Amino acid sequence: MPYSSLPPRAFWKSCRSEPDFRLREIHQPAFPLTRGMRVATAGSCFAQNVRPWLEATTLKVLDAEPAPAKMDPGVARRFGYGLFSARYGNIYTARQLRQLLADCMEDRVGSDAVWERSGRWFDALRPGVEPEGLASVEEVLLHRRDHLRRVLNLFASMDLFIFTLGLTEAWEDTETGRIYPSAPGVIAGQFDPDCHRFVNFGLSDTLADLTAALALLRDINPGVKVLLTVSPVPLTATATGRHVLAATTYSKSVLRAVAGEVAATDPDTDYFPAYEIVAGTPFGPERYRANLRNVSEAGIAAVMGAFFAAYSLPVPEGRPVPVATALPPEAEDEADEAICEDALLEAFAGR
Amino acid sequence: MKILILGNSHTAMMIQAADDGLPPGMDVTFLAKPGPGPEGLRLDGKTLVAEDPDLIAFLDRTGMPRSVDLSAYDAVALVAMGITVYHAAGLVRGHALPGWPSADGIGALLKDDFQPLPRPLLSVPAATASLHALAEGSLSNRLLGMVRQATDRPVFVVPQPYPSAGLLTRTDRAQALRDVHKAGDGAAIAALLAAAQARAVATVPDAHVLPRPEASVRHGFLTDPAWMRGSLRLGGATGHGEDDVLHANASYGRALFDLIAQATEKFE
Repeated sequence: MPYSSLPPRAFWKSCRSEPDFRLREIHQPAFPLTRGMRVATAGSCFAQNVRPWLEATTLKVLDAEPAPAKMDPGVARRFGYGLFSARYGNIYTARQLRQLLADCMEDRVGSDAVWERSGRWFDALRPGVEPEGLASVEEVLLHRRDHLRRVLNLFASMDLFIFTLGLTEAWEDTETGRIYPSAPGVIAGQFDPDCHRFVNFGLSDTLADLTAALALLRDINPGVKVLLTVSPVPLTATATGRHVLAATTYSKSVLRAVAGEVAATDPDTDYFPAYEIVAGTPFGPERYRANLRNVSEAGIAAVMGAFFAAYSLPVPEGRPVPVATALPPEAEDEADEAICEDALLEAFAGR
Repeated sequence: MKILILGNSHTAMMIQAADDGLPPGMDVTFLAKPGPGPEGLRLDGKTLVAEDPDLIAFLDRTGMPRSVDLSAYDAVALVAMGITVYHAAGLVRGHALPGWPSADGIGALLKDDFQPLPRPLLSVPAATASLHALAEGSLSNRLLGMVRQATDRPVFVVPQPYPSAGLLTRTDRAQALRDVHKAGDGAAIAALLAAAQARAVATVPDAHVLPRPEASVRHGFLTDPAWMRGSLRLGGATGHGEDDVLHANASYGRALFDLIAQATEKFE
C-alpha cells in the first residue's frame, strides 16, 4: 500500500489531532539556510512582516537603501525604508518583478513612468515610496536610476532571495507595456482608458513571468537560491467585476500553482507554505485581524515559527512563541498595518 | 500686554534683555528650566502647575512661579525645547538631497558603469517629515498643546538660536555643521528646519513660529558671534564662557521681544 509508509503529516486526521496541525513539519526545505547567509526580501505587503523576524536570526538581511540613521522610524516606513531589502515598494505580480530585473540590467528609466499630482511628481513604478512626491520629473528619474543600481548590486550580492507573490491583477500602460503596482489615479497620475488597461495574469502568463524573472536573476547572480511564498492577504478590491472572494481565490490559486510548479522544477527554488499556514481551513479566522484581510500577529508568528522549525533556526529572543493561538480580533490594533498601495482601493468601496 | 515665557536655558537671553528693559507696555513672566526645559508641568484647568520636585526646586531657587494661570496672559512664548539645526544636520549627514547646492549636477555622477551614487539620495520631503515627527514629540509641542487647551491667545514658538558661526574655526565639535557650511548647504538646511517647524504648528490655531532676528544670521544657518558674546546662564549671573556656541545674549533677546511686540500688534 503506497500510503502505509507515509509519515503522520501526510494525513489530515493525524494533523488534526495535534494542536498546531503539525506545522513544525509543514515544510521540508530543498536547501539549508546557514548562518550568515545574505538574504534579500521583496514582494507584496505580507512580505513586510518577514523582514523583522529574519533580522533577529543568524541570517544577514541585506538592505540596499537603509533609512538615514537619525530618521524617525515611522516616517522611514512611510517613505518605504526598511520594508524590504530596497525601496522598491510592493512588488505584487511576477510581471512586476520581471520588469524590475530587466530595468536593473538595462539601466532603464523613462519619463513615461512618472505620474503627477498637484504639481508633485511620483515614480509610477513605486508610487508609495515618496508619498509627498518630488519636485520634478528629473528628480524622480535621478532617484529611480540610483535605486535601480542599488537593487542591481543587492541582487548580485545576495545568497537567498525571498519573494512573496501577492496578486495577479495589475494595470498596464497600453503603449509601453509597463505594469504599475497601483492603478493610475489612486496615488497619483490620471486614469485614461485609452492609455491604461486592466490585466489579470493567468496561469501561463504568471508562470512565464516568474520563470523569466528567475532567469534574469540568475544572469545577475548564478548561484542565488530563491524561496517563494504566496501572500495570504486577500484582495482589497478586484477590477474583474466579479465577487472579491472569487477573484481572491482565483488569484491566489494561480500564484500558488505557479510557485509550486517553479519550485518543483528548479532545485534552487523552493516554496514555503506561508499561505497555507495563515489561510488554511484548520486555523479559521484567528490568523486574521477583525477585517479578515490583514494577517494577525498570531498568524505571522505561526508562519515564522514554522519557518524557524523547518530551517532549524533558533526562535529569536523576545518574539512570541508561535503556537496555534490568536489574539481576539477586537483587541488588535488596526492602525499597525503594512504599507500597501492596494489597500487604498478600500476608499472606493461603497461609492 | 502680559506675556508668559516658557523655555529652557535659552530663555536666559530674554531674561537678560528684560532686565535691561522691555518694550513699552509689555509685562513678562518666566517659567523655565535648563536642559530639556520645564518637564513635569501639569495642566490643572487653565493653570500650569509644576509637579516635578527638581523643577519646583529650581523655580523656587530662581524666583520663578510654581504655577501660572494661562488665562491671565495675552500671549505665550515657547523658547527652544524643539528641533535644532543639529538635528537637521545629523539627519542629512552622508546623504545627497536633490535641490540642495551640494547635489547640483549629481546626476552626472551616474556614469555608464552601473554604479550608484557615492552618497545615497534623501528627498527633501522625507527629511522634512522626519524632522516634523521629531518636532511633534518635542517638549515645545507638548507645551503648545497644553497652552492651547487652556487659552486661545496667540502662541509664539521661538526656535533655538542657530549655533555660533565661531564653531567654523574650531575642530573639536559639530563637524556635521562645518560639513554643511563647506558644502554650501547652510540656507538649505535652515529652510528644511523652518519647514518642519512650521508644519509642527500648522494645525494649532494662532500658533506662530517667530523668525530668528535677521541680522543675527550668518551663512544662512549660524549666528553671528556678536549676538552670543556675554550670554548668561539661566538662573544665575554667571556667563556661559568663551567655549559656548549655543546661547545667545541680551541683544538677541531684545530683538525677540521686538518681534513679539510686532507680532502681537499684528494679531490684535
